[in-house]
Amino acid sequence: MGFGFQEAGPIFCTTLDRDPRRPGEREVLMETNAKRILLAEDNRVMGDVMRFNLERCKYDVTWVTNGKAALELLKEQEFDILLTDYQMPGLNGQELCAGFKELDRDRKIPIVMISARGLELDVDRLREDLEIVQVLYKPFSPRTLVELVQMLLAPATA
Amino acid sequence: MSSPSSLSLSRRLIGVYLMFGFACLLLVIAGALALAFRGQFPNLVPYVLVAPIVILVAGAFALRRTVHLHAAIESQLSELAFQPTAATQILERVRDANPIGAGWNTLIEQLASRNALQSLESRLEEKLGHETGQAGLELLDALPEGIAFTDANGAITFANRAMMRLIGCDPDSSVTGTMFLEQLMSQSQADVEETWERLESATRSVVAELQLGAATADGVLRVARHAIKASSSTEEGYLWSVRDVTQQKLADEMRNQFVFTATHELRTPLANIKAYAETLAQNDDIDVERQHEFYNILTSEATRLGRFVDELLDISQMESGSVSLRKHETNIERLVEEVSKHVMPEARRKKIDFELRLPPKMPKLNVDKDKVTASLVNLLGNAIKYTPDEGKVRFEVVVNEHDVEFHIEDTGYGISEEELPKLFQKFFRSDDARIREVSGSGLGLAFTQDVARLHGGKVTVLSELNKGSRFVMTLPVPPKSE
Repeated sequence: MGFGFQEAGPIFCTTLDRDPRRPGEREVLMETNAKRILLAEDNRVMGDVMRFNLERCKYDVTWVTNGKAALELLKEQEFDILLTDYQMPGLNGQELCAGFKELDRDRKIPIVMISARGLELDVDRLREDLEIVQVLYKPFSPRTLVELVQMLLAPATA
Repeated sequence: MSSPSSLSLSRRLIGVYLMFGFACLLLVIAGALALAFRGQFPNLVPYVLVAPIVILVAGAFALRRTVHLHAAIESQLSELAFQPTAATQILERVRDANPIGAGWNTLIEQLASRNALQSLESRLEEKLGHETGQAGLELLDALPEGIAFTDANGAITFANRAMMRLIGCDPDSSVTGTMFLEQLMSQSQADVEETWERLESATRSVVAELQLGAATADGVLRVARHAIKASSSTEEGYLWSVRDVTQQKLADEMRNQFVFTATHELRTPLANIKAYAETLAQNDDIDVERQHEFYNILTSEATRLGRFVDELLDISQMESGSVSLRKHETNIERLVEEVSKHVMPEARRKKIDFELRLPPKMPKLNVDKDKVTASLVNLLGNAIKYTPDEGKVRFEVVVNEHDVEFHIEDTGYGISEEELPKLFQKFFRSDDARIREVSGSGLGLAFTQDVARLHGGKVTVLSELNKGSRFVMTLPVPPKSE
């Protein structure tokens, strides 16, 4: 019990005294000003573990499995960060980001593109055209994901 | 040799020497006899008679020894004068160690080696001279690669049969004098400006690839041009060789697609395994129920990875022909039972209306049970996977005289007409978003078709978009032995 916890301590949040899957408590968290993350990931297994790790750090995660649903949510609601997979059915990550840019919101939010290495993404172009701040390659460690989100949301938190 | 004029110089020298010697001898004898008549020095007469004769004979022998070598050389030379073309037969080495003999021998050796070279040269010339003739042309015509010669302006002087086919001409017609590049480029529907310019402008040898259409499958030619320098036998011009590399290009593309798809399919479960394993390792306080869930996911992702690798191996083994079927007499009932056991849980989860129709009497099949089961699980699994919840799937066995048909019919998404021909290709996955949403390797149908083929059967498909699909796997029934 002891040493694993020590290692995880500085980066991972300590145990939450709630079940992250219970929707009622998420409402409470939203009211307590938790940062809102929109996660678009078509692979259910991967999406589940990403949400699990982010929710442990008291983020409010909304998870959708396709680009179209993500874009609909972005139109209706405010989020603090967008995490999107590149390869998704229907609307892929790049198209989602382009669609989001077209909404032309005043408030810019950081975007993280998650992709399998080997897809040869033109990262510089993505950054320039679509305001994507980071590309995270699969397979990645959940710790890296959490660190990245923490870093991108830090200035506002501080 | 026998004619007086051909009497050798050395022999004549000896003759002259002897005659001069005899003359001197006669003179000495005459003088000695004259002195003896006058009564002076009578004791000297026998010496005067004997001594010069001895000297003369000894001298003759010495002279003979000296000129012996020269005589041998001389006789060869004089013989050569009569038969100037037979030098190699007439001239031979002499057996003597003096400088003249050694010099002669060196000369002979040099002559012999030059002769050998000359005969080789003439043999080669004969051979090569022959090959540029009729035999050479036949050789060029037999080549699978297109070969053409053009003059310095690019007009065709010769094109082999393969080249005629490549430039779209009847192999028996004549294209001599027409412009080669124009002929070649007229074959392509694609934009050839750049290739043309490259081939025309380069001063030295050049290789370029010519696309015959928009897609690789339309054809790709590899065109090479070599400059021919003018020589005594050839004029300045170009040698063109054209090879159809379409198959090679297609294979390359397929291999790239394979690597891309395979790595993606491998990476997805791998990424999941890494994420779950690290989550479990880095968090000690996950509740037990959730931990169990994570461990189950780890197991199922590892299984998925393993299955994908197995499928990949199965496919490649079957395609390379290195797989052997383990055929046994198999009960169709058992086969159907096993297949149903695999697919029923998913059908129940999706509330699919699953209908199984079996004829009352079914023959026994002689098949590799594991492979046929896996194939039918693929077909039925697809039907369930790609049919919306609460849809219908029917599995029917139809027994004919010589074969058994397994019909798998669904009310699913269906396959579009454009995608239907590609359905059995390795790694092919529909672009339909509804299908993309469900995980799949794109190997199942390729595997199923290979299995049917190896059993002497086949898989056919009928499908309509948004209506459903019907796959039929046909396997032959072994003739009754009794």
